[in-house]
Amino acid sequence: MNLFDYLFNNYQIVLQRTSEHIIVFLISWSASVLIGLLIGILITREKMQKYTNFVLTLSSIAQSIPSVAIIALVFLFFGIGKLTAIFSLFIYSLVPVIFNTASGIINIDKTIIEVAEGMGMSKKEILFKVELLIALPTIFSGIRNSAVINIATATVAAVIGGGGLGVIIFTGLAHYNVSIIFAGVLPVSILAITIDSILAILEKKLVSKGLLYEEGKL
Amino acid sequence: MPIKFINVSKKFKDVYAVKNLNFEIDDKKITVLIGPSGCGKTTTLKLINRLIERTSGEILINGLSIDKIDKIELRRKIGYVIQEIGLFPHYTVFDNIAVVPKLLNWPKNKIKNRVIELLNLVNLDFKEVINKYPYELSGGQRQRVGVARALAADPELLLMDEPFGAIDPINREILQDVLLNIQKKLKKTILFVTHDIREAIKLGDKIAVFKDGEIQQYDSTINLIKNPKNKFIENILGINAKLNYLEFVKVEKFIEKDFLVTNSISNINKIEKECLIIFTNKFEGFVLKTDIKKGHIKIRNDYVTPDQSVLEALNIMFKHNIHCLPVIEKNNEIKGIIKYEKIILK
Ligand SMILES: Nc1ncnc2c1ncn2[C@@H]1O[C@H](COP(=O)(O)OP(=O)(O)O)[C@@H](O)[C@H]1O
Ligand SMILES: [Mg+2]
Repeated sequence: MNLFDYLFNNYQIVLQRTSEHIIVFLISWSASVLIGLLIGILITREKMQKYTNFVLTLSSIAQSIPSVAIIALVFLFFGIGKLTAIFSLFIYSLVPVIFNTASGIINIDKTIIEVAEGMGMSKKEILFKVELLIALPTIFSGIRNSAVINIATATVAAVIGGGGLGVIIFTGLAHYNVSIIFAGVLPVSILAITIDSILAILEKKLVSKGLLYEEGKL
Repeated sequence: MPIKFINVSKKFKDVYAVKNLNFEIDDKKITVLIGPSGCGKTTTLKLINRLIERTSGEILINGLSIDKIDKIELRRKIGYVIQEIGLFPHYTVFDNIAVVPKLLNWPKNKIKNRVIELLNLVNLDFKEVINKYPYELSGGQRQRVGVARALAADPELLLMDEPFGAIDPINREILQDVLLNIQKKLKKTILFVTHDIREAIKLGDKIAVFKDGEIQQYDSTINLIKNPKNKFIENILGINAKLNYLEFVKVEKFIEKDFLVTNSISNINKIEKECLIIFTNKFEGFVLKTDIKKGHIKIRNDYVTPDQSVLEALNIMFKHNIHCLPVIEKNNEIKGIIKYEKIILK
């Protein structure tokens, strides 16, 4: 039996599962990036700063909860279905975005923020011209992390009705069929690598060259 | 922009960071704040651009309370330079200097020209540095960019908080000279914080000595050196203060007109003035009153330029055992004379 048999003979199924996977990923991941950035920014605003460390601790604990546990929990409350899957993926990939956005901003040297203020930048200008730009490398690693985790976890979410390539993998596992398993594993890996590479290129474009050398403080 | 502090205090919790400040910062002059660490220098500076809000008292800029000016607007009119890490690491030199002009929506061309002008002003080769990031610059270069950035929108007031504190001594001297040159050209009101008395004497028109959040003495540099009010000020001044002063003060501050000019000394046996300067179409030498009394006329060739230090003038006087020297500009223009008594008495 050839490793590629199932893939070649059922490429339409594989394509369809792949596009399901991509859709579930895109919806849940973009929501977590948007909302994660928003929360990360909000909890680092002056008035919220007393809670920043609390949220950071909470989200670093949350990051160590296994994805299956989150999926199981969401399943308990919302039952089976695509929305359940999307929601649990959203929750799970939200955490690294919040964590990295907040810690990236909070770790910027306070004097830099103070100088920005002293020069007459408004809070908004400081956020968009200083804080986010300096925190961008950290934010990007959160976003990339979130994407990879999301694509991987989406596979598991198949068990609660998420569809996608996980369906193929679980079928293969149930039949001890390596060719079927492979037909799910290969596209999911390619997907993860592709998305991460796209984000890496984007990161290189957007992050200032001045931040590449973190040799001591400037 | 003259600044007036009226009974200004700042408390953090129950502790005064500065207490009952009453003083006036002169327009277009350099005022230095000096004192030991934690005495309230930085707080005083930040009270002006309202990075710290005072607990009580009033601060007037141009006679207007700083509360009456929009905070953001106020800050954009005040240049702010701090020690070391003040530059934005993610911006190039150009973008760092352009920050405030961009906030003020200057047209692109005007910003570009201004940045180049400022880099020249702080003696940086703009072609070399304009596209570099802070990490690619030396400490001295960064600090120059910091000064250029603070001057970008041509503020009347400059707040400088130990700007050269982290720079090695040689480069610090150079940066101080750069600042003095800029000040000569631009005439800003500068409030300069330092804990280096040498720097204070070199740069300050006036010096305010702080201790525990209060001003111990506020006076012109020379008055402070001549009449320290108490032991604490004496200790701050150290033993070299007078010498430092003579080293940094320029001959031009002591020029007197007690001289005559002649183009020939053939029939001179008596002069009214202290000093007779011989001048044809250039400086040829000088004769002192005392040199004639002795029966023969002695022609001397020494002189100083107005921008030399008084210490240099004194050196020449000691060397030749004379009490005055002609002050001649480099283009041979006669400025006057400088006298020993005047230096020592003043
Ligand atoms: N944000 C702050 N919170 C509490 N205390 C402060 C704060 N800033 C300054 N202080 C205190 O105020 C005093 C004066 O500080 P500062 O103005 O920074 O002194 P200097 O610049 O002369 O070294 C110090 O005792 C310092 O600990
Ligand atoms: Mg200080």
